[in-house]
Amino acid sequence: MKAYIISIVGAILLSALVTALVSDKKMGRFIKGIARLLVFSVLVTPLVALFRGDGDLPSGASEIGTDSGYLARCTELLRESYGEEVGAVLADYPVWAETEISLSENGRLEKITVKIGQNGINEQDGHIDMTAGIESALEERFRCEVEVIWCNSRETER
Amino acid sequence: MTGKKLLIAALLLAAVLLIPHRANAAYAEGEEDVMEGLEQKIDELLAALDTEELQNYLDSLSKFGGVSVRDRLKSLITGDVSLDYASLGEAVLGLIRGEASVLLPAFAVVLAVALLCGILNSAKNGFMNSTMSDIINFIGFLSVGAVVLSCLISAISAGFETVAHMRRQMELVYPLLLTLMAASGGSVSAAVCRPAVAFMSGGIVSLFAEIVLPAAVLVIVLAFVGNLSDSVRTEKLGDFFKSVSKWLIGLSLGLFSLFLTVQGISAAQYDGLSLRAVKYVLSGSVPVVGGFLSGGVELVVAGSALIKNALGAFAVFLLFGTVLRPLLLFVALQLFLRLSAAVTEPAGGKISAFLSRLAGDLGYFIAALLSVAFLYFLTLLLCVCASGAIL
Repeated sequence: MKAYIISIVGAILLSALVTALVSDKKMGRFIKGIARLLVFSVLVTPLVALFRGDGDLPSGASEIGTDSGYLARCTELLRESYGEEVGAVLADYPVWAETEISLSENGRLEKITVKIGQNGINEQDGHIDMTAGIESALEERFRCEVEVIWCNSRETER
Repeated sequence: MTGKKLLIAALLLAAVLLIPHRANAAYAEGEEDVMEGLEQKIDELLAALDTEELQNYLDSLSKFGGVSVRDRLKSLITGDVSLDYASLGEAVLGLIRGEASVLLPAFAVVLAVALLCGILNSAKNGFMNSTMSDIINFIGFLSVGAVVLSCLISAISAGFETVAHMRRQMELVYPLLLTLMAASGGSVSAAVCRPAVAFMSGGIVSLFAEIVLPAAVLVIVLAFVGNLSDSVRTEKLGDFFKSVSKWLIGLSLGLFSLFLTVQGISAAQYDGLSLRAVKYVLSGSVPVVGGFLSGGVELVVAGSALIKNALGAFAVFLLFGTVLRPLLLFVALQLFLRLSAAVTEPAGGKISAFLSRLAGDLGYFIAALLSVAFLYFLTLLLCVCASGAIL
């Protein structure tokens, strides 16, 4: 665009100079006509190129990224907070448990996995009741998928 | 008996009055703990936010040197920043006076040349022949043109620089805003706003920087050149480029602002519904303090939202500081040209008409600058408010 402006200005200045210097006789009028055609061609040529598709138009959208480090830190903090709240629910049950929190890309809670260490204290039926109770409490509270896994105490020590 | 009844009534009344106070005291203490937790969370989140590039940009500006982005955001969040409108008004008036005083010598030259040309025009019919008079008028016009051109060049350069600064600010602020929008629960809003802000910082600013502003410059140049010779007419050409500028400014402002508004409202509604569902679930089982913040999850979301709003406000202040001085320069220059045209009109000649035409043409430059600033402000407002409606 800069080049276009400079070329128009140059052509008009040249035309003005020629008009001022040249006489009004036949040759003079011919030269003035040429100068006007020059101005016309300088004006029109880039527009023709533009309509043909050869011209430069302003570039479209640019790339906008995000601060992935910040989002990762937020996800970590959310995971910690959800972990604390799950822990508060599990405090009502006489178990030792590890929790895994799965979050979606936009930080929504997707799944809670509770790994409970077996200490040989609870009976088989007690396991089923406790699993159902924990799943129900967590599903009601957090409205997401909940999985309760019972591990051997040896596996949890490893 | 009456005395005993009175005493019992007084004791009951005292009990009724005291209990809510104790409950309020406990309520206030709990809220204080939450606010302390929120402040700590905000400090943690601010430390995690990558503001290095924005800080480097601020350090490169002389008027904002020494300003720490994180400290400024923190003070905006805590409300420690106050706007002194009286001193702002004084600063603006001082800027206008400063620009006007720089233009005074130019005004004096223009007035002197116009008066001389006026005297010579009246002498044309007397002892001077018309050719000599025409030459002197031409030289007078060139002198006025050179003086006005020198003032215009500095203003136009400032205008182009301002647009470049606004583009740079968009490239620095938009990624942070989108990040904070996503982190504060506005993931749909962020996804919806991303192409809009990308088009703003790329397409719209390029359109103004590469077509509209150069077209405005060309109109000014044509006004100069068209007055050099009576046989070279450039009014229609100037009108064509003015029309192009007007249409581009009008279409960008109208269409883009409408598009942004509709997108922002619809995105916020979706995010609002899903996040309110989360709030309802959480606040149902966790002790609620004043119904406001009820747990660690909400502290993270609220912290990001507060930082986002503070960043939006900071970006608006930065935009205002960037645009104010060039805008006042253009306003002072336009006033100077109109005043010169008015004062030189009685002297006759084409200088008055030329100055008046230039003053009108300068308006396109001002309009282009204000359009870019307004669209930038609108996108900032939508980024802040679209996800701000959620909480």
